[in-house]
Amino acid sequence: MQRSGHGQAAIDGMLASEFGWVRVSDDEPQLALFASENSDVDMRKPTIYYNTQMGRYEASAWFFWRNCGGERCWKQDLPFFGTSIGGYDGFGLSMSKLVNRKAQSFYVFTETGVMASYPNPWDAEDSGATFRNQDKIAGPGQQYNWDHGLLVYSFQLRLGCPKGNYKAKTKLGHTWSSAGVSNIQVTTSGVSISFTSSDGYWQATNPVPGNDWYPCGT
Amino acid sequence: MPLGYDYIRDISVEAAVAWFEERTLKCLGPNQPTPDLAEWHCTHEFMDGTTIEARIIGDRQGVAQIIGIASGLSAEDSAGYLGPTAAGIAVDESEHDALSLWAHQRAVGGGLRVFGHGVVVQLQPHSAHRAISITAS
Repeated sequence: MQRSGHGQAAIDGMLASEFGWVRVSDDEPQLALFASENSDVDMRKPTIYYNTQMGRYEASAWFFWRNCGGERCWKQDLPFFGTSIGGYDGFGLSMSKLVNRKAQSFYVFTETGVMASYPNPWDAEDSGATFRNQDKIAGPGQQYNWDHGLLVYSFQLRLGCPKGNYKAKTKLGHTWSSAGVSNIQVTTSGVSISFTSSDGYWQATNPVPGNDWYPCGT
Repeated sequence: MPLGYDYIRDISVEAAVAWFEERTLKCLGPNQPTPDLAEWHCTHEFMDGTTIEARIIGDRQGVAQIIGIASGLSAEDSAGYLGPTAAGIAVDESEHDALSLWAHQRAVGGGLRVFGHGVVVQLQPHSAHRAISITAS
């Protein structure tokens, strides 16, 4: 661009729009590569329903990527080569009291709603379930398969109906560059995530936890 | 310690900021706590336009006050944020269940309760812009 007469401002504009590189100092030119932050997702409050047909409870939780300017925030993490954004991402839901686990499922959607379902959990316990899979750009529109996601955890209350707060919480782990989710485990204390690298990731907990729920009393 | 305020338990400004940032709030303020009181302002706007905020007032010695604000949320959801999340960093983990239950029971009318280590939690009645204040007694 310089040889064809474009100024530094035009070159900087191209670098910013094409690669996400922004000049950070005029005195000492260098490039800053932006990455997403966990505030770029909406972690929705988990909700619990009773499924009368199945005779069991269903805890469900969503996450949604937000827009940064005119584009989805995950675009800041696009790889230079290939279609995968970092390694595995992970999403999990925990219950604060032990229940009898019946089933769990996880669905991810592109920004236009193309769904993929993951039947096999990474961890499935009486305290919740977690899933770990590869997020990537796919399809003709270069859509992102983890643009939003839904986890459903089905359970029944334990015999004797132990008293206490059956609150649901969620956690999302997102990675880019050379990082990935190596492990994502669930206990009644919450979801804990391990990563393969010391950077190139964040994790997000829902700021509005699931409603306090005392089906067996306090 | 300067006159006029106490510190909330033994929590640091850094720990309070990290607590809110893990819960998707974005915090702005000084890079490091200073000798004098300063404020860190944390916010998250949901895609439906509702917002949650936290104002952390502290210095190098600790946190003097946390104010949580929920705008546009239902009584139950605002209590869910203001109790377990906004006040959760200030209240000892052994009392989190009690904090959660207290906020749940006072989701509409609000109230005041003193938790262990003299942590004073004051929840406003539900409104479109509702706040919680956490200080040390």
